[in-house]
Amino acid sequence: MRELAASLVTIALALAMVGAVVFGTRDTALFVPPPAAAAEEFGRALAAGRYDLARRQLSSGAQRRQATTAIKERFEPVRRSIGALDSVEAAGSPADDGRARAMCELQGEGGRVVLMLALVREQGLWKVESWEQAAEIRR
Amino acid sequence: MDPLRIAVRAAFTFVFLLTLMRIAGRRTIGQADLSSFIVAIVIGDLFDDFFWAEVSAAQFVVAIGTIVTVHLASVTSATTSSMRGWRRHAREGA
Repeated sequence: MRELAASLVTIALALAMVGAVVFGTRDTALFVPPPAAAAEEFGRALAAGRYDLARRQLSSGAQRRQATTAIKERFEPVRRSIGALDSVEAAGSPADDGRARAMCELQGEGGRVVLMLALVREQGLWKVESWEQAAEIRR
Repeated sequence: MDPLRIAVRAAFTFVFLLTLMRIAGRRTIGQADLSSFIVAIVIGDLFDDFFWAEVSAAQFVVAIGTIVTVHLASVTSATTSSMRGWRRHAREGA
């Protein structure tokens, strides 16, 4: 029983330390996924047709504005045109004042699409505020 | 990916898991039974997600902490139960 209590205390201390680093030092890429990782996850969810998962990557404001069906209507034609996904690559700009920009490139069998994303920091994590399709190149 | 950030995440993971295993290890991984083996595999699979910053440190700590705590609770419960049985047998035998 003592071991159980000690392990719970260790977990609580680790969480407190993580919280202190993330919120105390305004960490944006060490203990939280950087903007590029958030953009990549969002892009993967879209390319897989998992629009419910993609919506969870949106900021609270963007979630209010965009329903899962709206995201599907917007991206499904693109997803069909690029076909089965080959690779996802993302890059993010340096974060500043809780805002960042990122680019996500989805390479499929039928073509390539580039998404430009604006991200905001919510509860320490990067969330997609808005996204636009910058380019679509067919093979 | 910045190598320095990967190094910091790896060091944090090492210190956190070493502390947790030192506390709980004798009753968990140290037993080398089937459930300990499963716990070791699951924990081992969680590392890379945190190293490459695919999940946050808080999610990583909660995931590892939950697995170790549930495993430790089940092992503690089994030990307490078998001790109770052993005492009952000892009393009945005496």
